[in-house]
Amino acid sequence: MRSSVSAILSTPTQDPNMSHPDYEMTVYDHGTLLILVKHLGEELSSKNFNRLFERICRINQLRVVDGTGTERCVQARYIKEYPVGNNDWGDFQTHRRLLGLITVSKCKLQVELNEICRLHESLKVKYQSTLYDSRCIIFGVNAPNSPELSTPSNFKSRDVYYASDNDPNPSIEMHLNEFLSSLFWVLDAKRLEKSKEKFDKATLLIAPFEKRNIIGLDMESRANKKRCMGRVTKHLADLNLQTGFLNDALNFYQTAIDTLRSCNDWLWLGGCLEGLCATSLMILQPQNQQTKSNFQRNASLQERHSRFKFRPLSTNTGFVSLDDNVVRSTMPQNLLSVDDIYKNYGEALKHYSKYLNAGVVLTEGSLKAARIAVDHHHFIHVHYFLQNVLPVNLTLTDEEKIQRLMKLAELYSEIGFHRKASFFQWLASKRYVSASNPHTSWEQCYQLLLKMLPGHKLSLDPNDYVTGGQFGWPELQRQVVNEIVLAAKRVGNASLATRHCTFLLQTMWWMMDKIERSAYATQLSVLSAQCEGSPVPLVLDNGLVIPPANLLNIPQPENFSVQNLKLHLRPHKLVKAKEDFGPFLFTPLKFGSMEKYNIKSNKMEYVWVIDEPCEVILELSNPLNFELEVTNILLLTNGAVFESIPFSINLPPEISYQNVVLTGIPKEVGEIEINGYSTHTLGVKSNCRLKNITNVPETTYNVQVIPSMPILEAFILDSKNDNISNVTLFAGESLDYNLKISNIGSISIDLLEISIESTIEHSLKNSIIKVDTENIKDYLPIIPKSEIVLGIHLTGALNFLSSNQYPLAELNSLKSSLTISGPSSYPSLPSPRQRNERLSPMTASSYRSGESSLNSNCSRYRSPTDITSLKVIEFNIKIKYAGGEGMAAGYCRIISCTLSLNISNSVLVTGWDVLQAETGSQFYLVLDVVNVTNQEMELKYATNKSILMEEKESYRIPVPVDRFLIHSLEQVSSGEEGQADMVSQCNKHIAEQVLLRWSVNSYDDLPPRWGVAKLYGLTLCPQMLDIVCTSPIYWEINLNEEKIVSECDEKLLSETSQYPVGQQLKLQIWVHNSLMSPLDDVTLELNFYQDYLNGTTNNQLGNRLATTGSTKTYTTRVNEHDRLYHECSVIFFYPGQYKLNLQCQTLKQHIWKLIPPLQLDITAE
Amino acid sequence: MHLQILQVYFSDMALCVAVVSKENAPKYVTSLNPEDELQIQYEIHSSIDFVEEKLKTGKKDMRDLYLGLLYSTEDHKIYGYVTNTKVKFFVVIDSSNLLLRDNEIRFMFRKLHTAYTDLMCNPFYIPGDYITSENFNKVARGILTGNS
Repeated sequence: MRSSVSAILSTPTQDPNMSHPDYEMTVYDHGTLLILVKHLGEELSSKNFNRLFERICRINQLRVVDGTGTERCVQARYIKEYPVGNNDWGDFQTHRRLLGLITVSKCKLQVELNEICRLHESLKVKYQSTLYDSRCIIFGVNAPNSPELSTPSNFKSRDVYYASDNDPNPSIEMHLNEFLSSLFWVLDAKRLEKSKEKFDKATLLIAPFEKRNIIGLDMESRANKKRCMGRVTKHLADLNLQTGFLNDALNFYQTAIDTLRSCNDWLWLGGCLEGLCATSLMILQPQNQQTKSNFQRNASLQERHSRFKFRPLSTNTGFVSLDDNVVRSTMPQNLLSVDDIYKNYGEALKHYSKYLNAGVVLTEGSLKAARIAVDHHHFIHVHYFLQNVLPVNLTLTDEEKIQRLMKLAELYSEIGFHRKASFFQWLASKRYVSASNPHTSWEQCYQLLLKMLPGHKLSLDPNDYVTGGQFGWPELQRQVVNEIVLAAKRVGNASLATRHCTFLLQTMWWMMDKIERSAYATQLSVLSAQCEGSPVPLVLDNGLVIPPANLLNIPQPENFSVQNLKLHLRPHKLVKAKEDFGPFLFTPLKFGSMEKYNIKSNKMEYVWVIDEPCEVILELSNPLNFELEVTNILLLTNGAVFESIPFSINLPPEISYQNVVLTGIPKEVGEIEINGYSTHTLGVKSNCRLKNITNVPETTYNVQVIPSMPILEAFILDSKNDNISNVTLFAGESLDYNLKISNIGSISIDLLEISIESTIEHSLKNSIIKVDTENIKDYLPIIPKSEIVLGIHLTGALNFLSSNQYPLAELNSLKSSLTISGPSSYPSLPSPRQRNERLSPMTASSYRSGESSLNSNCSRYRSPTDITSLKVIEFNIKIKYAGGEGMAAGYCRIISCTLSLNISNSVLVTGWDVLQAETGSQFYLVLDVVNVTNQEMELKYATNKSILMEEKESYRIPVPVDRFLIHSLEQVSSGEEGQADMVSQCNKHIAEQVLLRWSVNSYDDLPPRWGVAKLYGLTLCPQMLDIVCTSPIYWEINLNEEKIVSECDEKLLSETSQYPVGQQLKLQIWVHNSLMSPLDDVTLELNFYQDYLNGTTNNQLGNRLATTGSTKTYTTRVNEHDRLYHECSVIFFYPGQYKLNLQCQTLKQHIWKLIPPLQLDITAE
Repeated sequence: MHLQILQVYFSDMALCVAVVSKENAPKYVTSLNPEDELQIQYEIHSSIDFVEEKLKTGKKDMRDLYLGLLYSTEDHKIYGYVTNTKVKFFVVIDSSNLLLRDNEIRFMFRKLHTAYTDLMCNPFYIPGDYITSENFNKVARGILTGNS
């Protein structure tokens, strides 16, 4: 639209002269006198020239009083370069005319002076059309202490000489003031001249490009006259503005606007409107009042730092408020308000845009208008004005285009439009390296790209980056960083390129897919091949610091766990803190828990030891699709000195959870803070801090390091010095081993304690394993590289009794051979069922009393064939030791040797019973034994008595055992307790008495293995007890006053005495109580019978004999050492052999008999 | 016949449709030509400043959510729309497309807003997530191609 209009109104050919916009221009420049300050010659350094230029620029205002007494304000604008083409637009806008020229130079020689003068003159010629006056400032000549030289004759300018360019000479200011006022008076004279001219006679003022258009125009036409007049009025307004008559200027502009609007002279109308705006603004807000407040708007970038934004609402700081009526009244009527200024400026720009050749004016106008809006913080207006700048079609070099873009960016960032600014910076950066640009500068491009980072809410510090795309535009951010990498690479700064690429991989990892990740990683490795990346800040030439970036995700950490020392090296507290055995109390109320949770300690519960390697396990994944070589993985620590040992690993493509063990050695006592690890991969060294790794919950791990500790080694050795950990023993077998303890550390051991742990009961453990620790103290201290040997004794303590005891009911068959007399005289065995019932409570109690673990194993023996199962017992020999500084610090170490002991059954007793022996002092223990080994076994069960047992065969053996002397007991009570007590006493007696010595021949040439089986835990019923125990009573019998039996003394030989038939035999019976306690309820009974010696007895002797006196007597108590006396007589009617069974029943169920029974041979007379 | 004309008229309506969260992070971007998507994204990004400024300087009447033309370049014109929750919608059209008038643009935004409201009603959508809804995508693509 715009272009089409301009094509109509102006010739399509461009005027090359006016194509250099001055982007620095402001509206205030409309009222200034333009002065060119030019640096001539090489002698004066540009630094000094710039200093001087700055000094000159300060003299930009001058107040002069004119003839009428009004004070006039003269303003100057100094520039260093001015194209002649722009000067040609001086008619259109008089402030574009170059009025003054100052050249600055330095010389020593005449030749140089001549050259300077020549250049000065040529410049004067260049701007001849507009120049009013010039000054030539020369240093080094024609001043005190400097050579006197003369200027060439054709040099007509005013020359000012100074000795030195370094010396600040105050007269410079004076000269300049004078120069400025001279310019002003000339200009004022021109103004006066113009104002007196008749407007209708004025010639047409034209803009340079209009020259062609006026050819053929009717200059005398009414429209043209009007145009002429309007333009002259505008020109006059311009001059008034420059010479300080602002109110007049305002009026002239107003008139000109009206005139020009009527004749559709758009370009000049635009110029008028612009002038009107400039004048209004200068009245509203004179330049010297204009606050140079660098008002930085709270940009949206800072939003995330300060949530509560403060932004002043009054946008007219340093500005004469229009609402103030007093001020208003003094103002001219046709003065524009700020809003009107925007409106008029907008119109002016619209008119300019109709002309293709007015591009520069349009561009400058837009920028000027934008600046007004910036000053008044009307950001939306700024945007509207700036929007016009870019589409203006100007033939510009790339450099100028960049300049324009940069100016836009600058203005946008001034109003806080950082995104917009960065957009223009981006365009500019692209322009720097575009193919059409002959002066490609990657360096500039790179610098620009860095500048646009804030607009994208990016910073070069990875710590500032927020992942997840909540801030900024992720896709563009990545693009920007990518371009930075490319630019840095093209600049040739490989270290920067590597750094930026690392940054890209660190921060924007989350938005890349698998292939992109690998691609970027490959790119990084190519870049880093030129310069290795390391995690140190890089400082650019311009002082910009680029913070380090780290490859946190390559390789990707999955887990990070600090390890305790190996089990046997772990230090333990010598004195254990008191453990809390109290009840566990729970409360849902959390008093003061808030503070406690905040102070969360990352301190590990364990400690590390100085100079001993410790480990951290790191799990890594390779997210890339190629093999990743990670070298130099080290732990990063703070605090105590720690030597980390580098580790390298090759991670196959896309592998997950690869374990890496990082080791290190603490070198100092104290606390180590582990806060990360460092890697070297893809040519980049990275410090991966735990705080940046999301997979690791903690930011640091703190480990205490304690002073050095001794180390020892312990082995269990057999007789051949072989290390053993597994021993097989037969029940009852004993073996000896050695425990070798050697100090392999460098610190002597001052404390050594040995304890044995196992799951079995304490007393049983002591019976199975024993370590010689009695004289352990004698060995201490154990100096380094020395060793001690302690004995270990193992015994296969196992119950020899099978749980499958079954009653020896068939023993009854033996009865006859073993017993001498009739059935009633023999303690009858209870029926199997009865017996089981009776035994069961007792069995249970005896099992419970100690060998529970063994017996629980035994109980597995369901069937007699399952008896070969062995028991495995694990023993843990714990050696607690300490020494050196570690001991002083209160730490010890515990090493443990495990010994697994298999105890297999050798001989198993599956059943037992007791039988009376031939003599009263002994009895037979009848055992059913099974050889449960796999070999033939010889079992020696009594003196000179042994038996060869086939494997897995059951044998029945009678073992003669001395009876238990019951009177050795202090007290025999009839109660349950007494009973149990007696049973245990008997058991003990049997166990001591019965030694079953078994021996097995080994397969090899090894010596035969042997052991002793002891029968602990036999269960005995009361009837059995009577046999096992000796009788508590002694018998003493007199027959016909003649002592035939007396157990008190030595045993009398029971001679069978012969008595005639029919004779009264008088029996006197004393029953002595041999116990220490009285016997209660004693019943004595006499019983005659005949034994036919063929297994049958005859108790029915009623017709064969007669008794006088009772055959049964009872007494309530027989005291200790007392006796019961009974007397009776008997007459036998027939001769024959009779037997008398005497039995005494006491303690309720015990029956004791006279053994052997009394035998009476009755002969016929 | 009439329908066919409409089709021609509406074809290639917009070049790009974008949804930007109130934190000014993109939540949805779709464009007709993937090759110039990046350039358009840059332009939309740079237009956010202006939208923010407009919101700040307080349009008293927030009933009109349509912001109008935000920015125009040689190739593109960017139009903006902001919901009451400060979620911004952008529609980019070709500068040479002179057929589209303000009303058509407004209509596009209204459609987009309706689709967005529907999306918000979905209990499975977490506000603030990148929009992956199929329905929304359909509407947005419809705006691009004009075949809605």
